[in-house]
Amino acid sequence: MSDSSLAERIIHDLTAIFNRNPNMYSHCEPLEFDVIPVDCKLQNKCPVLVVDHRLALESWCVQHVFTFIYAKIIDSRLNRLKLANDKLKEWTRVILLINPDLTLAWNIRKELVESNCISIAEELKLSEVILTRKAKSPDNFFHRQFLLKKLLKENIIEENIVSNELRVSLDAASRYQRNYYAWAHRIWVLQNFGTSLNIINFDLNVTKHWVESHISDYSAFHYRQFLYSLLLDIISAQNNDNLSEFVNIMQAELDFLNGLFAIYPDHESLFMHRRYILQQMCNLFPEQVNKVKENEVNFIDTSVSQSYSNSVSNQWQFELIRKHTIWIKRVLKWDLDSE
Amino acid sequence: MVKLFHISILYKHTNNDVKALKTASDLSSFGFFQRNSVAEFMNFTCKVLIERSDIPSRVSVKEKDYLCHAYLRSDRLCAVIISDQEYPHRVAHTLITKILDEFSTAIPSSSWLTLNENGAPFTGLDAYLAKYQNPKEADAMTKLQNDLDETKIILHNTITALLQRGEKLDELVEKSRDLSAQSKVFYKTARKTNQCCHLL
Repeated sequence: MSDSSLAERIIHDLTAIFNRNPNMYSHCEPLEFDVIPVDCKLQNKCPVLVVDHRLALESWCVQHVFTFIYAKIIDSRLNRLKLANDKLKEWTRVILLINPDLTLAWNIRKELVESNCISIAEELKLSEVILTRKAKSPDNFFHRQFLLKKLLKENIIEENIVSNELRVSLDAASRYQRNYYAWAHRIWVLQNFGTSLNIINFDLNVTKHWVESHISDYSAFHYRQFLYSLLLDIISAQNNDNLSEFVNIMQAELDFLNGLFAIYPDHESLFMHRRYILQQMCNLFPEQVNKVKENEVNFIDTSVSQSYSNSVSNQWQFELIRKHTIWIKRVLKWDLDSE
Repeated sequence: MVKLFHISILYKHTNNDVKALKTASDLSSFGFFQRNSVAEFMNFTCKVLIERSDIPSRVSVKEKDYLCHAYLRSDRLCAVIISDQEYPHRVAHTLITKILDEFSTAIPSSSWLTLNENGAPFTGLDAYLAKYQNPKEADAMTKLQNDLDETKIILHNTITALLQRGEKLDELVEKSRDLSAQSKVFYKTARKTNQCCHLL
């Protein structure tokens, strides 16, 4: 079998799987995509696998399919050939499953969406499947934002769009450690689709559990900081700038963080988040600075004595505390030595 | 991530053969098509680790994004916990001690020699694996933690550091009867591309 007819057959098989059930919200869609490494010797069977709604390609065919489609697409662009929309749709889908960092293919699909060849719901679903293999692809998230903006413009806003995006971005975050793009996308969604107190409180709760089990995911801590800035806006608008409610919230966050320090004394992300809280407290409530300062001195003292007793990781922990005190002196202008 | 992937209880025979008495794994964070191979590699790693460690000792081995903690007791009963890098070491080692204590009271030591592979009638492992995903649960164990002398834990920075002279990990994988052909291909690909591989 020649390379191109092989590639065409594989593309045909994959397309059949995606078209098997046009109803996008059913569970017949592939839930996950992967490439399975296989020795080249064993290639007498179909390389497209579907197990339990999960789709996979055997690795030996990936190169053939990719180069076949890539050559076709580049050729059509260079020579300004007009290709059938159906073919373009099939090809870009397969090539993006293999390599989601190919911006050209995403752009072709954007054109297809603009000309109504692909529905937005279908496209959001495909992007989700692609995220299961490559959870950290910026082009993929930009594509989602393009689709969501289109929904906004057409005023088709359903209640479940926001919750669906929150689910997808959390899933992507769980598939790649410290997935900045997933959290940045989450921020984008809240900024563009409007927020309510409900969503903020709900998401503060979700991310609280998240950071407990992803202790070095600073992108997630940063997302919490973003939620707090939204919350601060709402509180100050409601209560005529009476921010005492926010003091308690920041104090609760600091207590939560202290609980984490007890188990994970040597993670820089926790120190960074701590600095955010301290800065918020000092900027918003200058009358309470003395109390905050006293607590912080206590925290540093206990951390230092703990780092002496803890034999395994003490050097790095000591270094983190040193950096923290330097930051306090520089940014908060506290004079710690006189204490 | 703070995650426990695998707990296994093993028995090390006097001729250095290692037999798994009971294992439990949580592979939900791995891709669907990789789970079988990951499970095989976890079992394989546990055996390699126990075969090459002395009795009695405590060992922690770092391998890529994973940490394997092992405790070999002087009565030849051993346990391994595989976690990710962020899971606190102290909690892992305390948990191993606790599990082995419980296992040896539940299953009489006379039967350890003759039990089948993964055949011990001990049911607690899955519950431990689920409960201790959150190390906060360990608060109740602080008393035990104080008994743990961390300076006695032997640290290795890779699995390779454990191997005896002349041994190579690639060859061990190639020769192993516990690993399927598919898993061996997975291993080779992960090594070749040196991506952040999903296998140990």
